[in-house]
Amino acid sequence: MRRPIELRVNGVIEEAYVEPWWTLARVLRDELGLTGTKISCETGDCGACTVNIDGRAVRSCIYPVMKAQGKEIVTIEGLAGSDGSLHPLQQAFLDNFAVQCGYCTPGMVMGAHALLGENPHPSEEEIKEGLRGNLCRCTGYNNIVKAVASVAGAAEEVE
Amino acid sequence: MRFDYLQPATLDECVAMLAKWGPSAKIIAGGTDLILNARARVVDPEYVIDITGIPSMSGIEEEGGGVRIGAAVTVRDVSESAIIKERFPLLATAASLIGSVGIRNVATIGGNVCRASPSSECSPPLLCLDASAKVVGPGGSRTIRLDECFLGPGCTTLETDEVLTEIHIPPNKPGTRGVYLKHSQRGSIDLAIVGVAVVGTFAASDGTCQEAKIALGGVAPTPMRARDAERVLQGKVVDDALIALAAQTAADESRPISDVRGSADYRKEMVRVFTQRALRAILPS
Amino acid sequence: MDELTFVGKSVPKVDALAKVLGKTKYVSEEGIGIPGLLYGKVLFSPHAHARIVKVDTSKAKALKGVRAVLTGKDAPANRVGMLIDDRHVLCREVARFVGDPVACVAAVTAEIAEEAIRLIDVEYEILPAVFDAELAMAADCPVVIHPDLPTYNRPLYAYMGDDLPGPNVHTHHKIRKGDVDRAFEEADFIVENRYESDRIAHCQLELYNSVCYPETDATLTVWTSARLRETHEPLLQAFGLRASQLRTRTSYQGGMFGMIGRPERFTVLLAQKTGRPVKMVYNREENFIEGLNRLAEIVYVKDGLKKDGTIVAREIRGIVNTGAYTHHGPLVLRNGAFHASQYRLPNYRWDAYGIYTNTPACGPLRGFGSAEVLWATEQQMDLDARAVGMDPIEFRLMNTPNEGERDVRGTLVNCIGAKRCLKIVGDWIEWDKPSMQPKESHIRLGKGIALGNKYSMADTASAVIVEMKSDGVLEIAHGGDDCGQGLNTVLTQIAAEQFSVPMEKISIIWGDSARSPYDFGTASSRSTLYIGNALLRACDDVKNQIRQLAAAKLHVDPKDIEVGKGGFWLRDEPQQLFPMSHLTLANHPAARGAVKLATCLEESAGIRGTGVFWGHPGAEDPETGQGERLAISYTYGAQAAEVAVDTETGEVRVLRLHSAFDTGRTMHPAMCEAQLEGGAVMGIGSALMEGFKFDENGRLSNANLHDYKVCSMGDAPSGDDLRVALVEEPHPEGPYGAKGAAESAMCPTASAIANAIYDAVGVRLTHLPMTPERVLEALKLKQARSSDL
Repeated sequence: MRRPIELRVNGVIEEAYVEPWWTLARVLRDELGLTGTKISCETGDCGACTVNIDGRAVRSCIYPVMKAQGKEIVTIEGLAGSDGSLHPLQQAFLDNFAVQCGYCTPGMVMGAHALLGENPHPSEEEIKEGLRGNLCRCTGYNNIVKAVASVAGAAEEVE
Repeated sequence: MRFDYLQPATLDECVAMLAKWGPSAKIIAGGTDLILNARARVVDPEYVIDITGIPSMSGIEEEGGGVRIGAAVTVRDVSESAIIKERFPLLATAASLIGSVGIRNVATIGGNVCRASPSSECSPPLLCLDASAKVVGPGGSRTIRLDECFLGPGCTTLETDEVLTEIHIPPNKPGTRGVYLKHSQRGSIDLAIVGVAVVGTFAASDGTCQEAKIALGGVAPTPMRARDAERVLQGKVVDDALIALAAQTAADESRPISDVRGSADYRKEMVRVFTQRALRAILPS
Repeated sequence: MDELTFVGKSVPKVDALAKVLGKTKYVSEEGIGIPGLLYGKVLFSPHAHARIVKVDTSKAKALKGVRAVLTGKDAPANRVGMLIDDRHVLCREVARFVGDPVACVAAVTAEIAEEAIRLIDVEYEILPAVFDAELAMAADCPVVIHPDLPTYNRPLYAYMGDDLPGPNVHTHHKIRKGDVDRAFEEADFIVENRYESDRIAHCQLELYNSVCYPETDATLTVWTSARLRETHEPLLQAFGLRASQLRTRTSYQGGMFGMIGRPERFTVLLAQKTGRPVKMVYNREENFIEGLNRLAEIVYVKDGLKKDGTIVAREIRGIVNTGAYTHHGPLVLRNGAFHASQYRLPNYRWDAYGIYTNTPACGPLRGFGSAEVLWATEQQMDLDARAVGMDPIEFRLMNTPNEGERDVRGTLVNCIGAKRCLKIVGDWIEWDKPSMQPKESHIRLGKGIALGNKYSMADTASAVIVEMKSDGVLEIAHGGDDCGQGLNTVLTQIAAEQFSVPMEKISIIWGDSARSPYDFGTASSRSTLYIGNALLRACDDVKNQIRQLAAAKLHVDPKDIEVGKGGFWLRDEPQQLFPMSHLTLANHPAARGAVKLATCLEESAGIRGTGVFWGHPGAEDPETGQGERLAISYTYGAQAAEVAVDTETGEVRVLRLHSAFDTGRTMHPAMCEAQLEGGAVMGIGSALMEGFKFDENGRLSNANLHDYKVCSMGDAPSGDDLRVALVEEPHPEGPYGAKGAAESAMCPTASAIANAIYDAVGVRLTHLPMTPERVLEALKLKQARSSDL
């Protein structure tokens, strides 16, 4: 039996009617139209579904939506400015050609966003270890590491 | 999977739910194991009880020289806790090696223990540290020693209407050092092929090993203490030859199976290699 | 290329902005929120080989919310395939591998569909199964998987089916050149070995998915996360549809690597039966189990060498386990022979056998047969070099052909930058200096190199349509696929260059069988070359039309008109640019008023140009495998690896991996480098970590992303440890001299790493992947042998 819940997503209070066993990823995609978050393994192994909850990276494909109530959720759709300006991470991914098929990109960017929020100046090793759980099949990771490292220097502006 | 999702605000509420629905309910903390198992129909609960909203299940506190860790504390917080890094660094290491950071932000130490995976990362250190757990149910609370709580893969001595609320680790004796090593192909994101925790207490005077504890993950139906290997070291001055013997003994007493992650032979050999590396790491220099 | 503005420059990728914003609509997003959408699910056989005695769907049909439960008798009765028609959409009498689709359902929610699947009762009679290809190929193999094989239709490459040694052998491909036996007699050294590779998966991140809509005009629209033509034509074949009855659509794919879609068969079937839109997503386990993953191969190589280092003869026997159904199998095993184009082999014998086993059906994966064979032959080259006492790079350089020579199949070898590539990676890895060994005695470092190549088939074609819109935008319609490799960007660059307009003035129509002209599809590293060339021709056609119209307007000869910069000008008066809008219908001075509209339409309706590019293949002799033009291009490349081997655990870390590939003229340097980096890292995964594991009943035991291990960020070298060189040898037939690159980067990697491991610890691993367990076993064996001496 579906029940109404409220979720705070990208600064907006969203209402959704959900089954209690649904995951956050499913609700974001199927109920709230926020399809930037991707589902790829449903076992928490690939990171494509990564969102930020209270500033931390979370695998939304195995995160119960009921648990997400009362928390601050940020998805890829919440990074760019309301005027359309790109978040520095998004710009860095473009500038460094870190996007190929793009399916890992939202999760990768959100993982990096959480990483930089907690550790504004990570070393390359810390970037690689911090994003190790985000799998990419296309890029070989090199340009992704470059993109995140390029923002790491100027991370004071990162929220 | 289909279940109702309950979010008790206090321990009493949680216990009342367990009293009512125990056998058809499952406790969820982070959910990183439960959701997978429910999807795969390994478990099929009608009710899922989320304990992460219960204040008494959180927090890491100093306790008479040791430490008390709430069951709902994330393994991320365990790995970064100053007091755990200082007093029980092998537990902090083990917690930091559980999956990716996205998993660690959500997975809990209580969940890691109660999931009772043979290769659970936190369990070998907790076994070496003589940890115990407080377990609460409708009939009251009790304390269980962790080295008595694992019955088999996925199975603990907790009753269906009980919940683990906190873990206690007694203070170290002076001269104690410990380390945890995980063997896997892709570091923390892989399940351990073999995990080895060692804790050794060495006399300040001559470096004799007064007490040695060795625990292994991934090589038996439950995390296990390698007691024969411990006896090899007890009371002796530890040199390379003794380490080699202890490591071989640990390998001999391990009981791994062959599965998708590794053959039994390979696992036994890895017990030997990593026990050796771990013992060398804790020797007083 | 200095005079070019877009081509050869690292311009912004046209799809990247939407992707970083999370706004790109992949096919995974299709159907969300559509009223009346049904969710489909498939029941897969739990047995490797079984007769389907009875299927009871009554309980499933009775479940509330279920709208269809279909079995083999509800699906088309004809067998279909790519080269051999051997498979039904749903099993009719026999299931031939664990994962063979037996039934499918459609229900109002995904949960109900899953429930319904569990309620289908199937009675199986379990039959003996065979998993090992060498056992299965025997003439007296007691398990015959396709007893009706001799009656199966073979629409393509029909000659690949003769002189088959056993009832489970469906293909025998041969190449014969010179006199191999005599050359072996005259050789100074003979080197023989056996190599084996396990199955690997594409593991693209976007899960296989499809949505099928029944349209009001009785046609069907089916969305696929796979390729356009690869999906469209097999569906027409499977369901007996005419092209106009089915509209196939796709979008930017979330990864490809050669994967072939599977859910479309079921969404089409279920949409036909229910009259409702049907969506199906294969979960990750289903991706592994029923996806057409890379075949497993055993390769025997025997080389004859002269003392001076010349290879005088090579004999290869390939035992190719294509699984329970052929799909692309016969073509993959045939194309593996293109490996041989990279060396001078005066006497050559190749026999590749395609074998049915009761394992999952296979398909192509990045390299389409090349990587599986290069795994064997590039290690063999190191063995050969050792036998004659030569350095492995020198040995390869010596035996590499030059531009203009013909390879073992008689096809011209062109723009072979192989030698340059070898030298570059040799320099980068400091080949002349042995690895510096660390102080930890259980870690050993070593270096290895390998040469690879990826062909592009000649017998394919592409068509492109370019239309000038009324606002001056050039709309390009093509039938290829952009799965992240940047095809749409490259085509935009070419068109922008041709017309000297900003890239924003180019729009791309693709992924729609109703609007995309014919294309063989994105495969065989062909898109840039074929579609790029077709685009150039279409651009020329448009320019000619513009010249004609402009000339009529300006009363000059069309030859005096130049086209570009959003308009056109007289060659002698370049300072006066007439905007394109002068020619388009909306701005025609006579456009107002219906009376004059008819004349306007005649004069300037739709400036639309077409271009076609065909590879003009040569015929292939079925007995000798010879053909003058079987490939249109090759991309050669070398890789050099330095590894660290932990001799106590068998773990191998790749410290450095450098690549140099001859990509013709590079269309987009940054994207090309990124592709090659990606391929190298995928190669590391294939070398050390990836491989299917089956239990004794033929069931896949690592069908998930924690036990099937792809290379993670922590396993791949980066920065200066992962260098890529784009070596440019312009291809005479490529657009601006370009040719394909994407597949090649993965082809030699595993061998380079294997050769590095040999350098480090003196063991030769011949079974791919080289997992820690296998490495340790080899080390222990070597230790035992040396202590026996």
